[in-house]
Amino acid sequence: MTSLLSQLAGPIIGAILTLLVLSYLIGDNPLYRLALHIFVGVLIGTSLAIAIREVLLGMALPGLLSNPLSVVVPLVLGILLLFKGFPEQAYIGNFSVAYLIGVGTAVALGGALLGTLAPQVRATEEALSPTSLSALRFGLLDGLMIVVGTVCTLVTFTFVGRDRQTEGFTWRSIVQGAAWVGRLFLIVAFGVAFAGALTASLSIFVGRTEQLIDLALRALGL
Amino acid sequence: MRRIIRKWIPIFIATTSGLLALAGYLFPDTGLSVYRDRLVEWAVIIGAFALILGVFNVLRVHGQRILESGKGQVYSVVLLVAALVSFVPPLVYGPTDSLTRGMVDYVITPLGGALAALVVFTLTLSAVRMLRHRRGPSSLLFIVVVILTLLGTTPLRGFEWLSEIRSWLVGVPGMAGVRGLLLGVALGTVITGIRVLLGSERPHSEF
Amino acid sequence: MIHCPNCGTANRKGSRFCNECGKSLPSTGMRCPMCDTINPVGNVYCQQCNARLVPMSSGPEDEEAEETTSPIKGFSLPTIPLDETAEEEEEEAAEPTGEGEAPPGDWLDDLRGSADEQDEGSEEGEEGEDERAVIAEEEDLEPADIPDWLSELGPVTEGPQAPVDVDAGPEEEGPAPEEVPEGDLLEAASAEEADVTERVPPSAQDIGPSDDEEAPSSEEIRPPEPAEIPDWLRELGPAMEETPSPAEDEPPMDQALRTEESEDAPPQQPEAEDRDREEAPAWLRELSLPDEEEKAPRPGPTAAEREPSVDEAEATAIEIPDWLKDVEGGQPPESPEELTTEGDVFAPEEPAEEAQEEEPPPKPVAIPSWLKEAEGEEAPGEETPVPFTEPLPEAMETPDWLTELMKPTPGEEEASPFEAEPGMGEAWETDLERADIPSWVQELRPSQDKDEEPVRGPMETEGLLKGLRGLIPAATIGVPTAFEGPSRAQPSEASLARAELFQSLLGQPAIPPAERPIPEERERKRGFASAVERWLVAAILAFAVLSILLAPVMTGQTPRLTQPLMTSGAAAVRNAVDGLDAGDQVLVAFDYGPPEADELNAAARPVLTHVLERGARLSIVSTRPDGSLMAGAVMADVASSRDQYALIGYRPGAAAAVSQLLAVTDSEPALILVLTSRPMPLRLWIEQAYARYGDGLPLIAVGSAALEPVASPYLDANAGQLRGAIHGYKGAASYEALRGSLGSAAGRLDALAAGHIVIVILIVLGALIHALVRTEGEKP
Repeated sequence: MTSLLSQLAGPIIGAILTLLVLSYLIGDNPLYRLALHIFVGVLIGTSLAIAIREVLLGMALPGLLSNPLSVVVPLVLGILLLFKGFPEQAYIGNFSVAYLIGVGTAVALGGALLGTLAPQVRATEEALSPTSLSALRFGLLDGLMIVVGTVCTLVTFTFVGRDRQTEGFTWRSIVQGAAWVGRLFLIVAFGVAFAGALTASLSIFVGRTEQLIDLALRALGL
Repeated sequence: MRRIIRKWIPIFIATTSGLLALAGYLFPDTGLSVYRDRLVEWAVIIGAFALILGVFNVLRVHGQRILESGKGQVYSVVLLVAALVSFVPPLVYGPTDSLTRGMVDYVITPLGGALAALVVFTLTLSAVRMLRHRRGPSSLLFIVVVILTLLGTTPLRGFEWLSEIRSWLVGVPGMAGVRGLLLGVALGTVITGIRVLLGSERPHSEF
Repeated sequence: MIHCPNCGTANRKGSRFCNECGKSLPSTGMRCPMCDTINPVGNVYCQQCNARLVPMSSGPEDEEAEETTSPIKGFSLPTIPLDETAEEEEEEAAEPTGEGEAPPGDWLDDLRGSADEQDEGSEEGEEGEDERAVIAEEEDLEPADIPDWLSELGPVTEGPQAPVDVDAGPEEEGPAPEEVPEGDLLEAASAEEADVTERVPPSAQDIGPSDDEEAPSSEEIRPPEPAEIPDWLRELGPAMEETPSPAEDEPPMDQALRTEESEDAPPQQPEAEDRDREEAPAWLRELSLPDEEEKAPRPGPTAAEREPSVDEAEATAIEIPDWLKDVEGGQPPESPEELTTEGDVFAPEEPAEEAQEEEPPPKPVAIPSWLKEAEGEEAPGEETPVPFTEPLPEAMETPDWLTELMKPTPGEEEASPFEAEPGMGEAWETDLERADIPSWVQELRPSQDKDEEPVRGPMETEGLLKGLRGLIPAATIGVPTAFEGPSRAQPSEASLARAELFQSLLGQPAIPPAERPIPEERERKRGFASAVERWLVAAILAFAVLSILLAPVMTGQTPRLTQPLMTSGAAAVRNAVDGLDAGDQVLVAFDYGPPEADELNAAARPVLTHVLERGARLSIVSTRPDGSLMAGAVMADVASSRDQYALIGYRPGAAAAVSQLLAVTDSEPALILVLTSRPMPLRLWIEQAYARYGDGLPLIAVGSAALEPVASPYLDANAGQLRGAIHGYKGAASYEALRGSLGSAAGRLDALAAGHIVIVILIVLGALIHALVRTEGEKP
């Protein structure tokens, strides 16, 4: 019995918390808010603990012990960053924020340039290659659709919304036509993404439901 | 002097560090990648302080709510207690400890899972009411794509063609649209990054 | 535009203060209060509408000038400001001059001088047209512009007085030069109204009474040459005959025509008189008729001639004849001898300005008989003007303009401005014909009758008639027939009811929209409908999932809605893992947290198990704090021992963390396994890995079902950035099928399928219902 309880204590708590959250289906209620605040509190606590343990203690401390000069700069900048929590001295943290923004921007820029733009543009070019067309179900049709869809979608985001009255009628017509086609491809992409999100959430619901059923069965001895 | 400290020094820091890190990406064989890695390592350490600052900010807000006896005082107490309780096991015992695992399995996962499970009902209701708020060819196309994708997600017996249709939808038009999105996002990232590195945009400065 | 000297703001011309800073602006012009015309600063009257620009009470000089230029009551001629030339000439004329020496600066002398050069010795002719010629201003007169009558005056070279006609009456002493505004006389003559200018009334100097006793001797007075006397002036000759001047033989006209002279004026020469008489026109000779003719009623002075009563100090007013000044308001002359002509219009030696400056006491003027008669009616000592009551002789040729002015019109007698003046009304009524004063002029005259009700009417506040009342009655705008009011038709009861309802609604207090309560019933209905819809969807979906999940328990049979399907992504992942060798380093990124654990754990466990079975060493990293927690939990279940994996841990910073984690391993990993449910971590891992290692480092992903569209561009063979990926329960089931060991993923696939079917049905039903049926408040 004791072991059963100890074995079921955790699941019971989990089930209770699950039902507290699912009570939102009835409507917003204090039980739901309670479960929500518990979740946020636990998440905050664990995140802080992990950050201190794995970053400061697991990364900065060994470096400080082995080679202090290697970590003194980030430690100082990190301490200066804490001044952002005080409105009057918040400007002190601007140096750390500037460093983070500078390095983060460079990393993101390098990744976008080398990791997305170059390979994806090349892939679009090669979509009409024989090798690619052979792998596609409808061959050239799919290839053209891939190329046209990619270009038109890009045109939609880049040129739609600008009032280019100074441009010629022909160019404006081409751009508007391409934007219209791009919107079609975007609708398909968003539809697929919506279905995927729905599937993901349904999968989680199925998993939660299965956990509850399993707990119930175990509690019932089935 | 105030302007130098609050404007020009942050600009100098951001530009210098950013250009040096970018050089490590563009010229990896010249040895600049070492500086890139070092700069990135320092950014990770500083990032930990940023997370600590965010957590302390949340705790301060709820703490003020408790002290001021404002609305939702009980919930703030629950939050602070849960944070305090959940802070000890991972910090002391680590993420693989049973206590930490139990907390993850029986508290965090059920709560998070249930919250994620609620999304299915919201998404379903929004799909059901879509034509109520917006009627048109685009809405109709959107609904058709959703239906075909949903039916083809799971391989239904006797309806394998639905899976093929879904595969085509995801692999050709869907992929083309997403690729256009990715390219657009990448272009925006490049442009914004160049502006930040050149000092045209200064989100870190007061000026 | 006027620029402010203080702030430089451009202000409208004529502004006195700056619109921006309020500082006073330099006066570059004077704005007319009547017509808003900008006039030069020196102007006294507006160039456009002739309204007065300079206030009446602005200074003693202005007052004096105003007094001198004050118009006849009820009528006035615009006064043209004296220019410098005239002033200089008048100043020069005021200076004592020697005998026979013409006063310097006399405009008339200049005219005569120029005229003499042209027409010296020319006989004067009765040129009425020339008389009516507009007399230009003095400064504008050129030899060619000088009218003939003026040019006939000849040069004036001696004495203050010009030679007068021989038929003129006894010589009269001209008044002091300073009292004779000759320039004013001519300026009064030159005006906008050509008629008036044409008929420059003879000033008192001309036709005023003269006293022979007072008048200088004929030797002193040199009447103007006959050729110099204009016809209009000659026509006034009979007036001169009646003057009780000592030289009664001399017609008053002659006296009037005599130039002004000072006491030091040289005597006139009788020979010149005789010569003048012989050359004088007939009308002028008629002026020297016997006294009986002098007794003929003389037409009253014209309106221009009449001048308001002024003090003797104002005798030099340009519009007021001197004789009239003495008659109207000046003190009665003490003796006829004291009376002197107040100057002659043709007395160039008496500039007006000089007279004004020096202001000598007015000299008495010889009172004519007619004037004496008028004086007899007055109380002694009263300063009352004596009208010019003696009619002109019939034989006298009166100028047309004078005749017209003398025509009595009905009501004019009562409206005569001189009625109010005591002693004058009766004289006017009995002896003089009323001047033809226009009615509108009479209306402008302020009524001095207290009993008489003033003219009422709205006061004009704008324009030229500003300050006047009842001049132009406001037009009554007739109401168009269309707006004459409601129809006379009797309204219906329905209309009355609606009108009453509308009125009651208007009388109710307005309720702000925010405060207006929404009907509870409608709100309750709306909320209940939404709640029912939400419960219904949740119930149906939950029932579908529960039924499939409980079916094995309830029925003992496992439903088979789905069948395992071998996906291309699962195969690629398997192939990638199969390519690992023992000891290879695999970098596993746990970038998902507890909320997605139910879905991803089902897909991650078989892959991790496979990787561990291959003998690879795992390096567990995460860019999320809870990812590290999940890694610990999952690896504890998957790994058999702790040595199979290294928990590197959490790194903050998104892209920077990924970049740093890629460099944390000592050697280049053989495979990168990304476990995530969100698109951004997958993209960051792919970008950073490709940027660092190119397409040489295989990367596989295990993600949720929502990640499949995002991963498709990277899964493209042409891109080669993602070797393979499995998504959600379907991918997990496929991978399990490939591995030959079914797990929890396959069991949940049927429930997932049931849920999908129910959702599709609900979407279709909802689309049909909302597409065909419009709800309350929904716009078409």
